[in-house]
Amino acid sequence: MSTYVEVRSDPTLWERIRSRKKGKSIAAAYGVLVAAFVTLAYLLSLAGWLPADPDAMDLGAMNQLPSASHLLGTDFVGRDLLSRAMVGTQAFFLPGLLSVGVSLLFGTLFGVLAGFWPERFATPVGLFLQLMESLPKLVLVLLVIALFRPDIYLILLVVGVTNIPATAELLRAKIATLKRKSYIEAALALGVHPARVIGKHILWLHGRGVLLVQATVGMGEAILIETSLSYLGFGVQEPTPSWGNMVALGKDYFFRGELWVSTAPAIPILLTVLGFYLLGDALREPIAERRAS
Amino acid sequence: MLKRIGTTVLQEAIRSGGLLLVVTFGMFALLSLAPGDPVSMYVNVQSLSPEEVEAVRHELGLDRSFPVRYGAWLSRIAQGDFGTSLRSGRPVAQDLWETGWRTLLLTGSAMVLTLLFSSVTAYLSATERHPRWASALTAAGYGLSGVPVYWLGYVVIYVATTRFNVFPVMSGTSTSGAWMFLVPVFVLGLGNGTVSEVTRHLRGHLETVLTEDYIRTARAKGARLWRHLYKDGFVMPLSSLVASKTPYLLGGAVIVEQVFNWPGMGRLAWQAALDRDYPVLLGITLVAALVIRAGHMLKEATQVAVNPQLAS
Amino acid sequence: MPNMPKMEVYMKRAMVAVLLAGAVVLPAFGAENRQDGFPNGGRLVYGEYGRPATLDPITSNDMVGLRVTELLFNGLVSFSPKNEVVADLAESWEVSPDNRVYTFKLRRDILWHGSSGAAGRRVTADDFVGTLDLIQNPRTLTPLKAPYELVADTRRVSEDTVSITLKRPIVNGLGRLSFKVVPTFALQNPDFFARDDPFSQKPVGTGPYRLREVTPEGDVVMDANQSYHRGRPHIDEVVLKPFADRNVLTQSLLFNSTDMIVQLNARDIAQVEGDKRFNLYPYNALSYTFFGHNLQNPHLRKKEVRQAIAYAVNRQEMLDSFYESRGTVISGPFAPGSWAYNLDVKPLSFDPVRAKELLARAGYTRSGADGYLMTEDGSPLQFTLKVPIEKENETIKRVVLAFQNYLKQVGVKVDLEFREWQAWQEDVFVNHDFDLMIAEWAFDDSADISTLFHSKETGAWRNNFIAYSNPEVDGLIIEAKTTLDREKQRTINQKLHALLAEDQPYTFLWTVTNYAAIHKKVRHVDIQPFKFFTFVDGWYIPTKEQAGSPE
Repeated sequence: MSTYVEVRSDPTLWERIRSRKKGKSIAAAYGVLVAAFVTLAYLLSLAGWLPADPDAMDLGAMNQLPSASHLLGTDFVGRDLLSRAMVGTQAFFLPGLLSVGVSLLFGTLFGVLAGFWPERFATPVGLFLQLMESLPKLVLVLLVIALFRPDIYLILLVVGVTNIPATAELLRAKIATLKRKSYIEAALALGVHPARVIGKHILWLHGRGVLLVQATVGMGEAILIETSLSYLGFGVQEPTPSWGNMVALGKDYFFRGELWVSTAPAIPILLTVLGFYLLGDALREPIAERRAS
Repeated sequence: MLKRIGTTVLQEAIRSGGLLLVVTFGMFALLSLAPGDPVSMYVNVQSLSPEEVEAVRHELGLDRSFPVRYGAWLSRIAQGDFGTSLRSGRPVAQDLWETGWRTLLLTGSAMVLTLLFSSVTAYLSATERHPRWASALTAAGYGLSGVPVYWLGYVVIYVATTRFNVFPVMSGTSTSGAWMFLVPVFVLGLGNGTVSEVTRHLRGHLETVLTEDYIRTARAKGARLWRHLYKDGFVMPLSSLVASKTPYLLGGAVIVEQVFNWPGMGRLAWQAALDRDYPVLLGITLVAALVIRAGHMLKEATQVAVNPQLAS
Repeated sequence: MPNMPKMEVYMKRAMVAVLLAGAVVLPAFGAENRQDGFPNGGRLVYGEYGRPATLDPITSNDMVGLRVTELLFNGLVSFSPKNEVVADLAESWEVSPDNRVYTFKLRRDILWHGSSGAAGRRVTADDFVGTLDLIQNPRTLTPLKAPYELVADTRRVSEDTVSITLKRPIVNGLGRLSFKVVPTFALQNPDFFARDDPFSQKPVGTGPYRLREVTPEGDVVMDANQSYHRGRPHIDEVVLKPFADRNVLTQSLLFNSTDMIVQLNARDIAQVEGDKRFNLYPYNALSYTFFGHNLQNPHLRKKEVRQAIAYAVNRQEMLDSFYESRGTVISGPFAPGSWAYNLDVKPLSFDPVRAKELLARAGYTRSGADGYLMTEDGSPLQFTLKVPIEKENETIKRVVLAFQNYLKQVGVKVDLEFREWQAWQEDVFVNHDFDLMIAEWAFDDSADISTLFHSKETGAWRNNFIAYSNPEVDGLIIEAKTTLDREKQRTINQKLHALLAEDQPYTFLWTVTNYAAIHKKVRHVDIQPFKFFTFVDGWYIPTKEQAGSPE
């Protein structure tokens, strides 16, 4: 359907963007690979197909470097790091999806409200979002933990809620831009039903990129914020492993030169978060292309 | 005209006031609901009789009902009295001031570093010049922002101490150089996870703008890109970004503040939450809400100034 | 933030050498004028984990703050490294025949800290009267309320004589009257003291060091008190540097940013020990770690179960692996350094076979498919172990994980439940909502365990949160508290030790040795185990090593 009012782009620049796809596709491939790996580890850990018992302690073999029996080494009570790392995916997989789901759902709701009907909703929604932004994230998590218990789903739910303003604002700004370009006006003038305008045109065609990027960022943040909480003592609690609490446990041996115990779990964090970021980048690109056509 | 400004200001005041009220009330409610109270900071509860503990609670005003306590705090705030910390007895306003500007210094500098790094990366990526540099910087930025920030801090400290025999943690009586301040700025600026977000955001905007007609015209004319790019490509997204990051500016550096012993507001808020030190926590929440509100208004003002057609 | 929640149990102090009737003059510890020939000068920077909340001795309730008050304040009496009472601000004293009235003659050369250079005002009896009145004022919120509850009356007899009357005679009460004196005339309100009085952050005392300033970063800078009554301290300046990260704290020592750490982390001891620049000073606190069993749980009520738990756990292995063997496994409710500890009672050995036998004897014979023993209704024999969340509790985590593992080997399931610190306190002390818990008791020098095990000490916030009730133990506890005969007390306590070791209301774990790490340049270091800085005025730094102080 080419009934949009669109900007014709410079063919030279356009070709250049398209040729960049090659580099970007490597990044995208990496992102997909990471997602696949993580999912694999997650499923294996659920099925219990692990190289060792993640809870089996061995006080004679604490903080060891990788060896034949422990491919990633052991932690501070002698447990196998690889198995724990695999089980550690459970600490962000579903909870991360919950966090992202909450922030996207409500972010979309508020973003659309404030963007589509700014006269009525921009101010109250804006205020409500600023309210959520004003509450210090980590303090909020601490008090919720004190009130209930240190549960990763609860924690990431709170994080998801605190991320609503970011998504909402991005969507609102996007809708405002589209409005400025009379895009929405045109669609409505052509008789397209407002719901369809919102659903298909705005969200699907234009908002999709933003939302997908926010989703990947959200998953990355789910991992990273748990690492911060673990440093402060409040992340996932023993004996359940999470990448965050594994790095936190290892940090106490870091300055003695035993770098591995803390670094071993930090590597999957780095690789996974990197993967999510690159995936977000890659998902965004095709949208930009489509728009220009 | 004057009347319009007057009503706008009034409207703004009411809205901001309402926001502050709701935010502080919410925080107070959460604090009161959470188990525990400040009493154990003062006395060893186990060695007192229940009546004596009640007497302590009474002295601290903790036996009043929750709305009454909130009202009391509110009336003091209205008179400009932020109260005193339950932990240290120091005036909260003084603590807020002393930690506030120090936090802003740290997070502000870190944000400048993030923005610098991301801007360069985004520019190089979007304009296709030096693609290798663009990829390298992107990878480095994404990588650094994808590790736990305290792990990064530990790595930096480890390298500094073992390779360079320098202990890069400042303290009050340290005279060995303010340059050490750059270390936590580096760790926070690059490790805080927003580098990727900012880079992507800026790059997206830059690319969009690059495909715009007026840019093509400018390039065809041979004019330098930057002058035309900067408004829509940089200032607009940057101001949105900075506005969206203001909450982080005040409280997001808890970890770095602890590792590098930086006396900031994040650390203060964390300790206050653990102690249930409500004057301090409410004071911080109030200031944070104020700053965020101010940030939003500033952003709107900037964007209108740059792009007058936005004023609706 | 404290490392491990230590619950202070304030008890009567039990001291050596009771002096009855007649005036006795005890020489002040240390020379009047410091004529030991050691040089003055230099700077001592010490690091601590956490910031002090307040700096005055009335409101201070955290270890870091209390240590600062030792630098800034004195009391009537003080303690030698061997815990004998010695004179401090008092020159001499008399005790009435009924052991209730203590009359102190004060030294005449004690001055309050003045501003730099200027001499301060003289300390008089009024100051001591004022301080005790302050402590006892119901509006003053202080942890000293309970220990000084036994003071009935304080009275100025003359400008430099003060008499303190106790409500009832106690054994060795002298040690109990070691409160630090504050200048009530310098307070906002001389009658009661609140934290928001600026004095709590800018204190004025009589101690070897005088507060110069607290930097915004939290560094507490203190200068030598030129008119200190024991002679000016050798070291010119003492600075406290608080840190929020224990690992960074240790690094600060190793990289010359600090000279001393008062309480070195167990895991860092080996690293510092090997470093020739530092000396390690062990000192024992009277504290021990334990697992508490909630006796309201029907399974834990059976003695065999509790004993089985003790036999199932290899305490020595845990001590060796996690604390590098720096400590002692204990057998009963006292710290091994305490005079009340019964050395004849040996800790239960590690014997999982015996543990299983005991469990079988208690009626747990069948095992479920998961390997755990089953109770009558078919559910596994399991307990919830509640642990408080703290930032730096890596060692406790190791301990509870190992505990969980040991018990698994004998068929008992332990679920770990971590709770935020204040929420944990409510669970344990108020709601008694736990099966097992882990904590550390810290005693002051007396050995009064009455609040821990007496059957009447139950109820919200009482120390007998495990609901232990044993009439024989009750009786002995009362006897120990009321007797005035020190030797009798010792015998009774030893009997208590034996009884409780048999009954195992707690699984007694260990006492860990504390280590202070101090740079070698600091000489003549004497440490009082409970009041760390008592002898800091005698420490010195040789002239050649005074320069090159850490930044």
